[in-house]
Amino acid sequence: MRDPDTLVEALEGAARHHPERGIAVFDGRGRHADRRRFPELLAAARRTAERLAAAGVGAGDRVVICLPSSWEWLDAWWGAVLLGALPVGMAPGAVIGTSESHLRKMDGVVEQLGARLLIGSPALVGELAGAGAGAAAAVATALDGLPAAGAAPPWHRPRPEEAAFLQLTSGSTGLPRAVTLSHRAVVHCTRAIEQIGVPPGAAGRERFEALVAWLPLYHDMGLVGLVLRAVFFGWDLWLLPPQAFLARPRVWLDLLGSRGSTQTAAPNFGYQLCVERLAGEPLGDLDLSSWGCAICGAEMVRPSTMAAFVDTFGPAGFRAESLVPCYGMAETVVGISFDRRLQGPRTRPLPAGGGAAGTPSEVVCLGEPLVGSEVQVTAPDGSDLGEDRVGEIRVRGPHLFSGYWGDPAATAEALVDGWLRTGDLGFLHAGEVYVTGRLKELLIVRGENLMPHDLEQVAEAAVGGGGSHRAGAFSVARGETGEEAVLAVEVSEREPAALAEVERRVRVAVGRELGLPLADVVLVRRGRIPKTTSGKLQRGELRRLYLEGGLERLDRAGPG
Amino acid sequence: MAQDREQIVLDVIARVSGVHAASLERDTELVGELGIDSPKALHMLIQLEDRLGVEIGDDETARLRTVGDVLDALARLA
Repeated sequence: MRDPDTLVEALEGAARHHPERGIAVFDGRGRHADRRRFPELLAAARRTAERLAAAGVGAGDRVVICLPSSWEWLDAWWGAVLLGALPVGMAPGAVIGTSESHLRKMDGVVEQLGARLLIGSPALVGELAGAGAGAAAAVATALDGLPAAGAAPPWHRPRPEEAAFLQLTSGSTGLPRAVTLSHRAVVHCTRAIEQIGVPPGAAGRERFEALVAWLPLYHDMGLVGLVLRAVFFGWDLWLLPPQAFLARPRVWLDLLGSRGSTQTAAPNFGYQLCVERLAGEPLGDLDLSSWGCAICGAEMVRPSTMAAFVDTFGPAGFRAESLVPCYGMAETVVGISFDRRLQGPRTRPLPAGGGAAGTPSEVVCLGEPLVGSEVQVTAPDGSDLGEDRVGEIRVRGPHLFSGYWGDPAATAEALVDGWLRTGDLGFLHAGEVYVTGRLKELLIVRGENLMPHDLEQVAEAAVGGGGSHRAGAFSVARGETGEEAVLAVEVSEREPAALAEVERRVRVAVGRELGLPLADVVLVRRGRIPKTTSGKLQRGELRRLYLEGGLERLDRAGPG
Repeated sequence: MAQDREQIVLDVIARVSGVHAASLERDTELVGELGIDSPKALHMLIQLEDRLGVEIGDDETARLRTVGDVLDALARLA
């Protein structure tokens, strides 16, 4: 059997060669699963494609999918792929409190991509309509609202170099960027990561039977790392909506222990949540001895979390060697490197002179670059720093994205002579990658990327009084939970009661609009947030000042 | 809502957020003031469902912003 060259061939191959395998999607509480085999997935995707075609969707059209993890999501995504249209997954909203600003972001994405359709739940479509005649409302529909299938659509046989889908990622302004990924890049990356959790020389597709997932489908690690790997390799996939995992993390572990030889992928925070909620609870009949691979990525991997996870679940048969730390981003489909040694997480001390404030002293090894790709660490002038020196990580290989949709300037900034500038800081040692921090101004909270601009805008609106660049957002590592958001805001108030009221307004606004609690709100005098002479916010400098206690707080002394 | 059910709701919110139940007001903001992020929100909802024997739909949870919203939602479901 020939390896597929495109996503279309991969789905057809799964239906033909693994007709008994398939995907089971659980409800939001993780109680009941609706399982369909790959031939049924293919048939449903074709029916959806016919209805999308009847709604006017054709090859190259962007289709934004704003649904919770569900069969509707998978049908819509694959239906678009079969037409040669470009599906774009987008977060459907926060667990509690859907916000006005999220609806506006949908307008922005639809406008920026010139999307033909936005597919949402009936409730979301109703909310968009109620919020006024925005760009998203104009193209929003529920899957049920699509017209009946007309004549058979022109089935698209993509060439490998054609775009397959778009992935949203954080941008430098208020809007996300859409990463364009070709079939070739996706196929290359998926094949390269087949070897995750497999000793060199062995075959991954015979070693594992099932994937268990709870990551959202709009997340690259959920979509490529779990759904596409299941389809490419004909593995069963047990898919929990994120809320089912967050409500009861034990459901994830029970599936990993009961579905044959299993693997999964989650950010550090997922492993940490299991420890926090389940340590000290009876493990009962939980048997994790057949869980062969636990991929950990999408945010900084913490040695303390990995150790606590092994301590907590070792008695149920979980092995430290199953943990595979990895590194990647949407611009590389999903993967840059993963630990191939299967010895459990390894660490190295931070190289001398390698860290600004807040850099961890022990850094987790994220393994070798994917087969066929290269990683380099460079100085600010672009020169190669070799090994054991901290600089910007660059990646080259066939798994790189084709560009940011409709944004050649951002693409030219990110891709230099065929190398992707990751915006991450790290070092190489013995050919393996270690990430120590970030150059780019981005917050990663629970594995999700957040743009500082979004927090700043909400804060500025909340304090009122006009004028932008009065707020600066950044993240700090707090305890074991990972990164948490901090906002510094310039204010004219001086009275303690007035300052407390400003802080409350900022916290309430960010909570309502972004669903995000703030670790700290730092109130400072006007003009105290560092800016360049041209007025550009210096968030890295702001963070350094905060961590070193150099910000003169109006509300209290010292950094939190 | 019956007093004891209301107390259960306040106890669950207090335990999940780590504040005293007595300090919760109806207009206390779940995310902004109590630090209830999405993992904590789900933890809260599932405990409320288990202890009160109800099921809270996604449309309902999307509207929750304050302690009072949670009390009202559960009063409707009782």
